[in-house]
Amino acid sequence: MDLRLTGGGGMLWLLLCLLPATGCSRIISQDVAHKERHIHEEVGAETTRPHIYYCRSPNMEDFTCWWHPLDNLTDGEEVSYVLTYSKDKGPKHECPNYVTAGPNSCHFDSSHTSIWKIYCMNVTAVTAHRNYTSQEHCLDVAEIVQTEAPVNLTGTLTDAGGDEMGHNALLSWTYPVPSDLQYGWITLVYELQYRHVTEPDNWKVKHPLREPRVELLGLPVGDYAVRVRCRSHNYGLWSKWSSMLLMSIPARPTAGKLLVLILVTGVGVVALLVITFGIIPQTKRIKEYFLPPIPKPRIIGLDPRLLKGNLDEINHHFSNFHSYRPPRYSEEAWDQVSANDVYLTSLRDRCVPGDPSDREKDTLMVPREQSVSPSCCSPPKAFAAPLDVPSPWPRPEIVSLPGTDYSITVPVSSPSAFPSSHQPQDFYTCVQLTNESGEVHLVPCLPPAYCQFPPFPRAEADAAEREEKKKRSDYQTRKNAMNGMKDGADSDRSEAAVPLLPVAVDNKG
Amino acid sequence: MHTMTVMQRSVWALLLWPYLLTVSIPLDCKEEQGSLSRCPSISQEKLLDRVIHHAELIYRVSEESCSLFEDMFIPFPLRLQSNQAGYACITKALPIPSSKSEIQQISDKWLLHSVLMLVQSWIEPLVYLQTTLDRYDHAPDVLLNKTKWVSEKLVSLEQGVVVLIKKMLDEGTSATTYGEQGLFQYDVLPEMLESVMRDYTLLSCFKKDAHKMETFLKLLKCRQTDKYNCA
Repeated sequence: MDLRLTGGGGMLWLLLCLLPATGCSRIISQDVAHKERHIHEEVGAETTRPHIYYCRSPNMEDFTCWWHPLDNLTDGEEVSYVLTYSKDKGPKHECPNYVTAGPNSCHFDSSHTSIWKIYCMNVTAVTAHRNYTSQEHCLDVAEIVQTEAPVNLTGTLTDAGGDEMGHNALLSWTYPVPSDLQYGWITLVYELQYRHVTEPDNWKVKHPLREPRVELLGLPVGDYAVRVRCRSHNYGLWSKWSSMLLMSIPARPTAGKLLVLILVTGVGVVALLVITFGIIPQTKRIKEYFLPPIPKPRIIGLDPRLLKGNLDEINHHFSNFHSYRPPRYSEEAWDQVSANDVYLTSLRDRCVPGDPSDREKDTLMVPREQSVSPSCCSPPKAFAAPLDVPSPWPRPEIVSLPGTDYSITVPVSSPSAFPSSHQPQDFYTCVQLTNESGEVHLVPCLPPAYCQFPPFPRAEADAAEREEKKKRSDYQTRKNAMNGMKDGADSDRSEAAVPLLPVAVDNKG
Repeated sequence: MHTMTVMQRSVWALLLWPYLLTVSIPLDCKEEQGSLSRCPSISQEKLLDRVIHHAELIYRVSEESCSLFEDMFIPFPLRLQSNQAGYACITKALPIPSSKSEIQQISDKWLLHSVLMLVQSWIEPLVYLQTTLDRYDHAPDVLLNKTKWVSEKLVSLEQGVVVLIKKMLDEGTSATTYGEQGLFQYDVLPEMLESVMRDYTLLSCFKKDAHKMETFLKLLKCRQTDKYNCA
């Protein structure tokens, strides 16, 4: 019993291993047998028996099948083919139409086509001797739907100008049998492939496409091959490829882009010219518009028109100031200056009310500045020192700080000219110090020791006179220049003020 | 000894089960290029998909035909609203569920049978409609082609539903000729004297019924995948 057990167990284990293998291999072998038979059939189809090799339905409403005929026919032997089919293992029928699709074909029209059942068919070659029956071929009509290939594939470049990247191309095609597509019986989906002609295997794919057109963007310059195919959305197989379209993308920019460039350049040049000749000459006016000039200083209550002619008003206004002396405007009086006794003559003349008769020839005419009341005499400061700047005709009120350009009037003891009782403010002040920041330190001017005049050497009288004249003229020009710097309308007023300013001219002036 | 034989047989049975499986259960339908398909018939899912495709197209084209007819032949005050002409439809006598709750409660079997009833009732009236439209003076070709196409596809749909019933419900095709019940009679609508109004009513009713067919079939499909989540 043990031996039987072990023997039986061993056999059992052996069978255990073998049976599943056998079972699986049976499955495999079935397939292999099928395939072998299939291949065998294909190879030997022409010889031994006919073989249905291709069935196709273009629109799911009818279909056609083709078979390979017998090949090992002796000459003169007649053969006819009979195709029989059945639907879902129903009764057998014969092919309704052997003619429409050509020789060795069978065409099933719409009344014989059903998409609800599977067709199984075989074809029999009937010869005089014997019949050869092909292998059974089964099909589902919806599965063998292969739509027609698209036609009229055309490409147009959409952007005329193009850019460095290349052009855009719009590709469109049509389906050759539009009646299949009406009512939505077949809904097509397309696939487009394109490649550069220099790259034979690098197909770029556009899928899925619902519309029979597509725009390819940014195609680089070059030549392209394009093809398209279609398929029913729900059923069936891809159609054959459409005929290949060769498209070339041009390189040079087209006229449109050049035109734009020229136009822009022209407009730019014209604008530049307009600016150069139209606006630049007007810069002064524009500058005045945007940066208006600083208005002239105005004293409130004082009409500028009065300044031109009405000095009494001015004097009245200014009389409030402490040390203001109203200037006397008179014609220029030329004092005679004798060559010999310049110093003394002038002094005498000054102190005595002018007697023009004395002023005769052989005397230098020196223009006299404005003079205030000649009540006091003071030695002329003009000849204060050879090094010193010649000062204006002496007036008791005018003093000048040595070494500076400024002169002041010294408050005189006789207050005749000044009816004012209060002295709120000095009309004139002197600058004592100037800070670095530009501030000035004003002090009432002090009377310098102006009554000392060094004797004027006679020998240098001529030179001194010439020098004095030169300096005076220099000063005049400087004064005029100073006047000119101010506003032109103020010249009269400044003339009133200027005589009180130093006539002394620097050596460097 | 006894146990040994029992054990042996059971082991044999166990070992042989894959072999049995491979023989008894047919192989899956291979979707090869139309050759060597060993399936005896088309699968149920595919059939249902194709039937639904038919029903959708039929409904859409019938809707287009109805609006075309309306625009061409019916003056505006006489146009039917969607809820008005139900009483005049020829299929009003059929035991077909109409409300949403009814439809949800109905079984798959009755869904299919309702669809079949509807389809078979309409085959003949559509043929009649085609002949009347041909007699019109100004009927456009578009309208004629559409109605022709619809009647053809309706016949195809009937075939499909029959096959589907046979597959899903394992029933025979013996009792499925509802069309012979004579629903469509010329004197059903005596008040519709004008042939135009009669045709218009026919088209509208067919449009409604086509929509019903489509709805039933889609509900059926929904139930195949997700039984409890279908509206």
